[in-house]
Amino acid sequence: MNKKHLATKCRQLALIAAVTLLLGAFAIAPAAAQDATDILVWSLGYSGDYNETLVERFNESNDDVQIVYEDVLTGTFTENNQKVRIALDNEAGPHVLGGVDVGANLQALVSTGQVLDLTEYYRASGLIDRIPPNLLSQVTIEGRIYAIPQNMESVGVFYNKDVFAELELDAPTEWAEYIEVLEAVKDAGYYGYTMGLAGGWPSALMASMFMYSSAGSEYIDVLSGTQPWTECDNCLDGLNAFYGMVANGYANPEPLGIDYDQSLDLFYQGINVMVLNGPWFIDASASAEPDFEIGFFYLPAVNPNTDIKTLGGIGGSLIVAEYADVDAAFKVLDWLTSEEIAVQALREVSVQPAFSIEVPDDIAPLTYQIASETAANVDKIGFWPVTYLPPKVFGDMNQIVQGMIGGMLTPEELLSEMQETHSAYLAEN
Amino acid sequence: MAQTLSAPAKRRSSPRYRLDLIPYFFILPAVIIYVIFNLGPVLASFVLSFFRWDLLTPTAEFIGFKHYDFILNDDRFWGALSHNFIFLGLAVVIPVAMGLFLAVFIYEIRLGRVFFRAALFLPAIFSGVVIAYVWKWIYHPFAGVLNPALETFGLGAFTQSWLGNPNIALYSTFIAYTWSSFGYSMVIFLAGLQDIPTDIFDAARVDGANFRQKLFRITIPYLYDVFTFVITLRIFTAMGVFGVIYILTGGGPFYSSDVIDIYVFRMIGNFEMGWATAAATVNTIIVVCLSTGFIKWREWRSWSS
Amino acid sequence: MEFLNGVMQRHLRKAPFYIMLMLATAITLVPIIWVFASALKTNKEIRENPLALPSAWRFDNYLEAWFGASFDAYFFNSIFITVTSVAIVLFLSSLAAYAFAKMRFPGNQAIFFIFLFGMAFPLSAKLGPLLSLMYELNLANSRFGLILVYVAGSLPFAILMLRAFFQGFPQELEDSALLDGCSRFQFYMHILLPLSKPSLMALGIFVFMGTWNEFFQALLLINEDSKRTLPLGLTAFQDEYVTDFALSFAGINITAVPVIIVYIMFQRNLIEGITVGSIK
Repeated sequence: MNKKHLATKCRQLALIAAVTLLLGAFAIAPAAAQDATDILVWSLGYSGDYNETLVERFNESNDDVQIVYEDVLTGTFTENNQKVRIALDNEAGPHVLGGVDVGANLQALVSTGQVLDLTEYYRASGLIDRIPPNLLSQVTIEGRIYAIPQNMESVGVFYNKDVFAELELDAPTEWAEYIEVLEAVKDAGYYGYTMGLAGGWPSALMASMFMYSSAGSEYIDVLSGTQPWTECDNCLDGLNAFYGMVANGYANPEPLGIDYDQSLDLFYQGINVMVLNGPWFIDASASAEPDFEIGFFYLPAVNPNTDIKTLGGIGGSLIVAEYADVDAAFKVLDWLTSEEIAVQALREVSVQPAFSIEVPDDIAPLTYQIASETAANVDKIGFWPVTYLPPKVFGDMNQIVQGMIGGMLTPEELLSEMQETHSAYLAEN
Repeated sequence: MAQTLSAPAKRRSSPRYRLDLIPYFFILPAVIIYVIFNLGPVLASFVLSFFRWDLLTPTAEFIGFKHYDFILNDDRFWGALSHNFIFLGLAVVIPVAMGLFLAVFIYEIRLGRVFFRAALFLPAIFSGVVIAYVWKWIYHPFAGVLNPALETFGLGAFTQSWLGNPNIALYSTFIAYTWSSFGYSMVIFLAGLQDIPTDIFDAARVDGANFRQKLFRITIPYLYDVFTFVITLRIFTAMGVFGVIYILTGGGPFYSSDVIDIYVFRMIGNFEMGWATAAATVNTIIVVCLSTGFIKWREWRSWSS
Repeated sequence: MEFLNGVMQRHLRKAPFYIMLMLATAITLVPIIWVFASALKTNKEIRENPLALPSAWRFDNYLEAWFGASFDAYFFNSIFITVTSVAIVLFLSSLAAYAFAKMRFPGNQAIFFIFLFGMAFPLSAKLGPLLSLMYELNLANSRFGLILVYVAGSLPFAILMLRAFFQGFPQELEDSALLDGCSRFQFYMHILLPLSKPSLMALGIFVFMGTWNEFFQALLLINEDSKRTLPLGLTAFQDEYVTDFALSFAGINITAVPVIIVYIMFQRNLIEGITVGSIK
């Protein structure tokens, strides 16, 4: 009897399992819209929720093309880039991809032949007139255009306006003034520079920005492997400036013990009064509800002789996979690059468009300030320098910079360590 | 139809031997999935480490030991390996000893056995990701719980950046690893203890043996095989430690908590498959040698004594 | 009096054990309780007083993680992948373990040993070619592909454990069933499986935990947000730019609670499974 009972139980369990499998199969099957071309869009950007509402709007107003949207942001951005590269290579990826890094990453994508040449599209759609030449040059490889710059990430300093007012400080415009501000802030018991370097990317990125802001295009040569790290004196100056944030006590303590997100919290708490960040910080900081007002200024270049106005560059670009349905994909591109969508993105999630638009003045003041300064200086806002490093070398650079911050390497030793790692990599490939 | 009850015997004595195919049908589905998605990739890792890779695709170009040449000349590989051995040295002592003592304590008490066993095993059920995030918050230098707790107990001198200090980051990750793994050893020891005939302990009590004597004269010798198993398990987990470190430090700062699996994973993440497969093969060989060597040594010791 | 003294003494002798056990229990439980408590706090509370208990029972964080940060989708992916993997592992491993334990055929020992070998190597040993293979077979970025990988990963231990159990199964039962005209598959379906329910249960729980918690293969193989499992969702969620302490605590809890529930319900089976698989 007992045996029989068990057998019935087992059968019940089997039934349940079968039903679960069946339901699961339904869950997996894509919700296919009839007679419409599905365009799979992946985004590596950070405004996933906003993108989803955008896509919904597109799908409602279009019958022949439907967007299937997926967020694919995980891990560090080099990991993301590589994942995308592999997916495209195996035709297992999206048709349209947003948030792609340009530089070495775009070159790698183009070299495998999986990215659609958009030169004709640029001409036909008139986009070619809307993108500033210096941005266009970053997405042009051997005379052909492969990507559409979506947004600008002009990195600058967000500061605690209350503390600045209390200490009677003005936003600095030159490196020396910036140092004076850091000193004043430090004397008043605050930290002026926010640093969270745990994890796989912030150390390399931050150090890189300082080197870039001191060496300019010379640093791009270093990253491309055409100039040795050890012979770039301007890079060393930038590195020393970065190291000075720690050595002079401007930065919060324990930068290696907290990651980037955790370090931002020091700013929200009012312990740190300045944070180097990009336009996405406007929304992020608003949701953290700090009890002070936030201001913004461009970080002055370490070396005033470079032609860099501020750090940052193209935040993300759109590319189209070679295997996509071209007409449908272009319809999506038309819509994504329309002025209406760009203005809406600026208004709602403070995304700074990379193509020229009329900046509306009825938006949040901080967003307006950054958008108009970015628009005015777009030809002097250069590159995201690290996108020119091979991913492995970037990962190593991140660890090596941590070694300098942890006091295990001097800035000079860092450069020779980088030279060794970089050339060893280049020799193997 | 004269059949003996023992089927195998029948088959062997059968004059017309026919291969019985049915067992193969029973094992076939498992073998197929296992070989394609588990064993195959491991063997492929070994074979393909001698070939050039084109991104994710191995090419037919044989390049011999070139990948190994790079790996074995990379200081970071050796650094990672040495951290694995530090981890191993600690892992075969600390979680094992904790597991043993707690198992003995639970064995000694009557009231609350089930509760303590369940509570102490609890961390072992969580995902490495969950464990790592819990400890990330515990170690947080400003919002964490460890530094304020130390200050509360008057140990303010010990507060520091647990994951940011290159000299102790590896040990901080080891603590998180221990927290999640000693319960596993404990449960296995406890099961082993319960297999020891109780009259031996009764006899010892009559003879007036104290706790220490019982531990060293009875418990540990009787648990010989259990020790072998528990320590072998630690060899596997310590040489393959990954999840906790990946999330807590990512191998940093400055490679100070780098271990082989992180090294391999980083290579894979950067699609340096040649180096990744070479490093993974070296690690596999080390793990297999260490564990089989250890088990053989234990067997030899128990035979010779 | 004498007797009472004896009892007291015996209990006092046990006191050090209790003290040590309670200390160890505090070490394991306090962080867990702290995480649960923190998920009920606001960011400000966590920041300003990480050790304190929440000022009010606030479940908004859970709601926000569930609906706002797509933990609902991650949860159902995890459930689907885990339940399917467990079902397949139980079926395939019991089938194979029956053959290994009870049938005599050329290669029995050798093939079993090949399965055992699967328990010896580190995860990294297979990751590179596995990733390559999954893309080759068009199984990357797919829940089904992930299930196959999980099943393959769980089979060695499952077969080892069930084989040990089936070997202890009385031979007479099988012999008489086969005499009655049962095929071996019928015997397996109608007698062996129903009678092995406790060990299948133990194994099922064990595989459930392993699959539910798995992270790295999912990280490598899954790209799209809608296909993420809970551990993966937890990391992706942490990498976004907003610092939300309370929300990440809620996410940790959503990931951990199902395992805790299963653990509380089947604690005995799970521990039995571990010890049977290890000692015997």
